[in-house]
Amino acid sequence: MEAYLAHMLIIIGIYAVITMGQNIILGYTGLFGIAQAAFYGIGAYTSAILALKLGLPFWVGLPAGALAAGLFGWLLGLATMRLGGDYFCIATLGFVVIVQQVLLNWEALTRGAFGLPDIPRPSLWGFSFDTRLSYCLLVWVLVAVLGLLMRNVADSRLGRAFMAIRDNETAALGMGINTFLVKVIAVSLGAVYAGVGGVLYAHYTTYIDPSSFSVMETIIVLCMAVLGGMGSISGSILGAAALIFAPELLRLVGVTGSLSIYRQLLYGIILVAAILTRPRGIMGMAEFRFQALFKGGPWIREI
Amino acid sequence: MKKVLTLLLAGALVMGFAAAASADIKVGCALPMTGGIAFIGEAMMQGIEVALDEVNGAGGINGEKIVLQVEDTKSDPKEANNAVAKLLEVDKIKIIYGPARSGSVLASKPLVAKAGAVLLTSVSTHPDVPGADKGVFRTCPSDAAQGVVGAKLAKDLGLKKMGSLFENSDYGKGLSDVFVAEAKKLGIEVVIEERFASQDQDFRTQLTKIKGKKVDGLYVVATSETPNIYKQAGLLKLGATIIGAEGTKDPKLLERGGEFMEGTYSTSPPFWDESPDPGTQKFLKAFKAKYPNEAPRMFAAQGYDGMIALAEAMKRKGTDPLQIREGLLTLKEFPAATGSITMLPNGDVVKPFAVFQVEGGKYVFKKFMK
Amino acid sequence: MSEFLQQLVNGITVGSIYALIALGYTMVYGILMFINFAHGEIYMAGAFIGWYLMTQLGLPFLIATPLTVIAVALLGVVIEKIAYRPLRHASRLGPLITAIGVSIFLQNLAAAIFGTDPRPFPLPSFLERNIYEVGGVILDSLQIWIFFLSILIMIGLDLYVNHTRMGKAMRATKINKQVAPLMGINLDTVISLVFAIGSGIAALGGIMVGLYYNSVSPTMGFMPGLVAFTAAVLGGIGNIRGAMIGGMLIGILENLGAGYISSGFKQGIAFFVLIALLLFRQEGIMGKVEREKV
Repeated sequence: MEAYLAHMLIIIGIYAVITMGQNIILGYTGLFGIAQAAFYGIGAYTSAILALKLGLPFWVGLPAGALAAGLFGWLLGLATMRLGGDYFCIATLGFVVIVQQVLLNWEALTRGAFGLPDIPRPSLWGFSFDTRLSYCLLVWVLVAVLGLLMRNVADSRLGRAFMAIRDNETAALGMGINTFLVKVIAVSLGAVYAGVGGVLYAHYTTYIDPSSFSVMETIIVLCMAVLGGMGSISGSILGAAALIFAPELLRLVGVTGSLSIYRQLLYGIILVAAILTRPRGIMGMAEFRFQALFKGGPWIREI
Repeated sequence: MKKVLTLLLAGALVMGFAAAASADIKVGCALPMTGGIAFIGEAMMQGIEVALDEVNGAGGINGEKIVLQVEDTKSDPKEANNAVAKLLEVDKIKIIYGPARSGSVLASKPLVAKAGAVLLTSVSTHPDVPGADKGVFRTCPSDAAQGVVGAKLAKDLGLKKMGSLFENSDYGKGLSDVFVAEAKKLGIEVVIEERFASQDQDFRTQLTKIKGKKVDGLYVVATSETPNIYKQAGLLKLGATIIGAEGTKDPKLLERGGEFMEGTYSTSPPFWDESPDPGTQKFLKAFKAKYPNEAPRMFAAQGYDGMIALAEAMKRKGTDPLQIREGLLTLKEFPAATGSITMLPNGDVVKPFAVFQVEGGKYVFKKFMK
Repeated sequence: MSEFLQQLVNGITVGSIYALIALGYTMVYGILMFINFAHGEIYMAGAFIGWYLMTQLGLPFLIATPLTVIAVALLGVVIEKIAYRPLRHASRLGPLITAIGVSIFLQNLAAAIFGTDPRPFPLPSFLERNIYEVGGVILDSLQIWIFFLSILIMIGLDLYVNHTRMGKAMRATKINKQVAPLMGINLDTVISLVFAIGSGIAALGGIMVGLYYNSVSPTMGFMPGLVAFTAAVLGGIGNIRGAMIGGMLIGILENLGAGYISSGFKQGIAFFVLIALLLFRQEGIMGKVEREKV
């Protein structure tokens, strides 16, 4: 049972990281960019290919995957940033389709539809992260690190620039912010997060193929961000948890087998109901105060 | 009086003990119940149910009945991974049947190996799937064999210049590649290879290109897309002989394709209504009794085969996963619905393929080929 | 040369279908600034309801089709009322998520009721396919029907929006949602009507596609919906003629691209073109530029 819970937590952790990236782009900066699935895929494939073709360890693959994703985020940002809000959205969606198609067709590099099996688990000084529990720890250490990073970004000048652009771009421009550059940075940073998620995913499932990096996937990430509360780090985690747990809970409660269609039906209903009752997401824009556990005081901190 | 009571008590205890010991054997089924290939999962379940009726009806395995725990793989390798993980770790079931998609089996292989479990698939045809040492077995023949048969058939039919149209997936590409390699070896020119996305409906673009190359034969790897492919090929006056892989042989496709399916060939594991194989007939009889209003699809027959193979392995060696692995390896000429099962040491099976041609709206068996 | 023309014909047919779906997207977006992700499923619903009426209840095409259109128009209105209206004033993303939820719901509802297998959708006799061969290019009558139908609908819609009172109300709402009610326009009615019309048109598209490919399946709406939305954006979102042009263009480009570059990239081409075009002309082909004032 613990192994199964660990499995759930690993998946939640991976999605939490990707969702945080989504939140940087959308929640902090107000950019309707939904290409996370593409960056996630780029991160995963980069690390997997480095491991399988060049024998490079996970610890090289991780920064490599993150940087590769970030690079593509940068390029996508440069290419599409001039587009107005909703056009930008559709362009990022298109990017997901294009990346998936490339992964599927560039067989010499990615083995196309056959995918990449046998991706090794990371190991550190002889210790191999073979068990679920150990990998879970690895994932959540990274979640914590990246969460802290996100918090620091939020509090920094860059973060304030992000939010200024979200709140009123023309005014931000008037304040002397190089909005173009800042927006591209936002997309790139969000992509880095997704890349990390991708690397973690590849080395966990030990098998990846292009079908995982689809439009549906990127939409799920968007839902996690919105459901959890945009612009909230704890919201990213909660949103991921909610959307991962929901189908699993139903699966556990016995809605399995050929009743799976009913399970997915419920999933759709949950999405609609959740937004109707709490449109700003579970956390809205607030953050869970971890200090409340130690020092007391209010549990939720409004930003 | 005391003696009688003691005897009765002893008798009750023995009976109670026997009842407690008679637990069910749980088999975890990780099958696509939703998503793109849900129709495969549904058909397989039909076959599995028929198999269970037979096995459990005959008393099960040493008095124990086989019970299913079904998990949905949603036609996706990642979800399949989740489903298998859940079966192995939450439900503690180490006998896994499925998944269907080759990619899904490949994704779950490490889990099975690590857990010392046994996994049997009856429809995954990718050459890399079996691995007896990792506990992964299958009861359907490899694409590596089917592609070769397709090429040999083309040669037999005297085709000289061919094209290939396949589903852009692990299955489609794998099979097409094997076909092309073998065709070239046999001296057939393969001038064009086109692909389509799974569940696409419009193939005119690809077919127009293929027509432009003036081929006299076309190898098609598809499943539910088949009727549209054949119809559009007909409408565009492609004028080529069509050889399809086993996904193109399914009674439901005939319904949709109508006259455009006439004259086309398909290769598939030997399963058809008029088959003289007693294993096939036994299955057909049982299937028609249970589902009188349905035409038995090959996936149902394959679903059945996998389950009876598992049951037989359990009968021979035991119900522990490692015992089942051993048991599966002992299967030689074991009668089944899609041709007898002979397990190779690496967990794969070899079967002759049957060649069909559509005549008068029906698949007519032509011959066996290896 | 005939291969090129053939690909063109293929492209125009597919393009007409995209255009029909795109019309619904563009109307809703034009007025509500909202991407109705469930629109692809509305199209699918049209196909299924039409299929059901014609094949299961045996109703003739000329009766079943209008019934379907009305039913689906109503479906669109109901969905708007339940899932989108309450969120009209909330964040921009709320309705988007509910739209996704509705999309998932409808897809699985169809699967639950009709099963996941594609179902055959045979042609009614008066639409029987006649094949014409013109200079090596093959056309079938159904392709011609589809093309003319979409042109007709587009012209009809264009006339409606530009020359009727209700159409005027729609345009007014599009220009300024806040002021429109002050002019005596009932926002709710206009919006409901927009959804009804968009959905009805999509339903028609669904039936045509079901007949053309002789197949209906619960997942048939997802990808076309996405591509149609791209077409709408390409043509300049909110613009009816743009939706038509965008749809045709994407259909043609998809086929030519797949025909001459690589069929593996068929799905990506539409988006590639879109990004390329938008880089040069932000508003799409026929859109109007709106400058935001501080």
